[in-house]
Amino acid sequence: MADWTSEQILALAPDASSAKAGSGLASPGNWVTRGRHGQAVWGECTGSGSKPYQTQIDLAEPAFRCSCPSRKFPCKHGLGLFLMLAAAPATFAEDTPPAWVTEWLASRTARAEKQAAKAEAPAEKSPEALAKEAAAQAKRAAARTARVAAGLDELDLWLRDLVRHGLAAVQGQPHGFWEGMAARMVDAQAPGVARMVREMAGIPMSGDGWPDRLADRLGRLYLLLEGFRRLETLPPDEQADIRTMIGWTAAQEEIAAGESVRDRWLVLGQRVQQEEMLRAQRTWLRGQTTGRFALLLAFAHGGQPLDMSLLPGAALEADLCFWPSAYPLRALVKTRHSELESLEGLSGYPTVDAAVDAGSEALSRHPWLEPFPLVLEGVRPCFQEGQWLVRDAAGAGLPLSPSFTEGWTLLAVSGGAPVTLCGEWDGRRLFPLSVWAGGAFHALASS
Amino acid sequence: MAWQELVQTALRGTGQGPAAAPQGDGRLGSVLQGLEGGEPERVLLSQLAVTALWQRAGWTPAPAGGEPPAPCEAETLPVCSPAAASHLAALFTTRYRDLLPEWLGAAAAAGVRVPYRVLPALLDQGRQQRELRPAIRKVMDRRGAWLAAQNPAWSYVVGEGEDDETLWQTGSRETRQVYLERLRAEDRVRARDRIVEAWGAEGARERAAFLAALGTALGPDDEPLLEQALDDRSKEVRTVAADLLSRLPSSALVRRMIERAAPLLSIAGDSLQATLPSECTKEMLRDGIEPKPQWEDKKLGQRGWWLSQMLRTIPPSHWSESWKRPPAQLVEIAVKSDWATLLVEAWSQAALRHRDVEWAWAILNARAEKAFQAGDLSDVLPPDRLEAFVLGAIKANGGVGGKDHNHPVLGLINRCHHPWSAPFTRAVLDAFRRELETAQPHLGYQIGSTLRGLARFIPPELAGEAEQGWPTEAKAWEHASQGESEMIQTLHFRKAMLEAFRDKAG
Repeated sequence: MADWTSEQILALAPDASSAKAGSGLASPGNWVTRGRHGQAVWGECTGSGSKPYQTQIDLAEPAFRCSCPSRKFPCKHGLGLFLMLAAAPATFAEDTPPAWVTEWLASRTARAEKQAAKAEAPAEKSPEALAKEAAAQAKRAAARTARVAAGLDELDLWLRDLVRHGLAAVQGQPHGFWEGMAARMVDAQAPGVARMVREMAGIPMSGDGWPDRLADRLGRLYLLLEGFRRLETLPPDEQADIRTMIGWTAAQEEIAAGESVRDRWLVLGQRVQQEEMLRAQRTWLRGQTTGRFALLLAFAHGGQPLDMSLLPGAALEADLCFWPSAYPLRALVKTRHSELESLEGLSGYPTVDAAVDAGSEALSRHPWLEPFPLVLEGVRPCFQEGQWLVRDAAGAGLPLSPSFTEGWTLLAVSGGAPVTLCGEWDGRRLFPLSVWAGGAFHALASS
Repeated sequence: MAWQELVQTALRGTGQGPAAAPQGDGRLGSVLQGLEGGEPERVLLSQLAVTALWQRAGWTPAPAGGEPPAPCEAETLPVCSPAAASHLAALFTTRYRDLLPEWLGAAAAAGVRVPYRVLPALLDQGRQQRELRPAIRKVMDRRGAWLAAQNPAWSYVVGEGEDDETLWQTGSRETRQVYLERLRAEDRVRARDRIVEAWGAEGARERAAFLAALGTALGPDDEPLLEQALDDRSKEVRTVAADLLSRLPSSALVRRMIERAAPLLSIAGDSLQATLPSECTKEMLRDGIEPKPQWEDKKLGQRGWWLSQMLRTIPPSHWSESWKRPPAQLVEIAVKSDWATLLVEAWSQAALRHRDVEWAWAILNARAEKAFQAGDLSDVLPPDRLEAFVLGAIKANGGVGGKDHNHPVLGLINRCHHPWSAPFTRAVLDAFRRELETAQPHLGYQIGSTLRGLARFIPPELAGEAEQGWPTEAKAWEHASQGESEMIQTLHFRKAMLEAFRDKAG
């Protein structure tokens, strides 16, 4: 797991032109100096200016830094340096790092310590300070609840208007119709609801079957509104789910302070989705002993890097803390207890029926849960009438998502034999993320 | 069902008037019933909320239908090493895609197969680039064939001889031409039979296009059909037939040309006499001789043009054999004669058409200062001769560059698409280095471009040497450096790529 392949490195590139430029720089002729020391790798690259650019990588994450003026992350120099390291590690001699390397590493350690200290800090405060903090927090929460309630009341009115005029009329509405209400939800501090409204904007134009799809999303949104209306009457876990769907989640520090679950966690798959200026990364884990699933969520704005330290196929001993929910999935890694290893096998539901049942059961507890992690054993991919699906030993079929483009790759690694497939289930289609076939793990590209 | 009714109501809108209550069974029915009786919009939205969840949670899988594909048999070849696999993956995503043939060749030679996950991309590439197909077949092993059998887009793998009857019967002219060309490469006789079958019923353009397919794997047994086509009513068809027949040294057409031309040329000692043909007979027209010269050929005059065409058809070895003189001598004599232009141009064309190495060599060397316009003729030479010729041309030219933005020697070097020998590489790179010291920026840029393009042919073991000794202070250097550094990177990549096959850790 420690070795990065050029494929994985190129996957870090923020866009195709960076990947191309990066591979162009991956040759000794461009680098005046280079070296490594433990987890730090550095080099000086000749650029268009008079002084070479100083590029460095902290392999632990990996994190990049370069003195070039590019805004991209990682820049082409970072990519080139990394590619060179992967291709010819012997050419990087162990050496004492120059000042500009030790400086950056020191500042990184300092920042990490500060953050760790911050997490520990609450124990230091006096009872009065804590009480004052709690009061201020309660006041903020009350203000937010009021704002959200007002916003959702508006949304309620808007939805009733919508169904009075009918979905057929909605087809002719301009983009601003939806965008306006979504923006209003953001103002009301309900970004999750804003996302749900935006999701509906594209449906009227999406071709055959759009009324069904739009009605489904409408129903789901209205259920959330009704849930919020009755919030106080519901059990705490369900309250937590409704708040999360609205976009009101507990902070990481709060969750990290709670109970943790220790296990050997297998990284099953990862998916990155682009939403406007934001990239959302979902990493699915499963505990080897507990069998529990966990979802790590990460976001990056613009060209910022995403955390690539947990790649599918890895396994690590760790403590995870879960956000409260009627069906807990979202988690964070509190403490790692081991280095990354490679996972040695996957286990899952033996039939499509069993898997779908599990999904339905989850919905009964958390009605807005999407997507749901599935691992299916003993399934075979097939291509029928222009669509991909997987079939189990009993002959039941699970359709794969049309946005999944790696069907032939899946078929190639399976060779017609039953495989164990891991993917995201939305109640209708499965989006495969990885597969265990022929005694090996294959992550499938996510797009 | 309840959901359909609700969606219909939602489409119409509650403003249109009361809608019937949706009918549901069991639990769903009673929940929906319980939601009735409020404001119509609220009722609809609530019922949608419940039923949408019901639908989603209640989804049941249908039987898959059909049969899954039978599992693939075990492989016969070991997989390539992880390093080789990652190079292959890099070939598809970076600018090294041109190196794919080299990778495939090295893998085939090493007797290894590709990893499964690369098969779709590789098979797709083979669909677009026909020349890769034989190599792909060697490295895809059973899994590749199994996979290809299931995707019509990859049917080329399972056998090009697979008769796509419908393509031939109903396709467009281009489709049918491609089909014929493919068939001709696999089974030349069958392809010809197809052409013969279709001959009577096809239009002129079709006949010409199909006849042209005989150009692949042309052989003496094609002569009868071609000779017959010389009498075709379409000019286009006759032109194709004459051109193909002239490529068959044993054909009657070539014999006729020799009979016509032999009396017109004579040699005595060091002098060559030529007489121009007095008329353009019907037989000459039939054999493809154009009566009126066009463009530059006008300078030969009409009768000179006829002689030139005859000479272009005749294998030049005929002259050296019948006069018992080496080609170099004949070319020298021709250059000194009154007919230099006509003879040398016609013999060039003949050498090219018949791929005569000795004649090509003789002509290229005789026209030393004009050799750079040699263009195609140098393609006839085998690698060692070509290298010798190019080095000679560099020396005669005093370097790589030319005058007035015209660099024929550079153009010649650009055409060397064979694996270069180490001495040739060193000599050419040195010539570039010297040139760059004094060159103008635009030549620097051209040299850089050339270097980039030649990276595929230079032996990768020379990568280290190739990096050294460039005149980085020269004015032209910054324009060449981009190309040079890309060349070096490519060489390093190729070196690593080929080394990955040496330790087979598959």
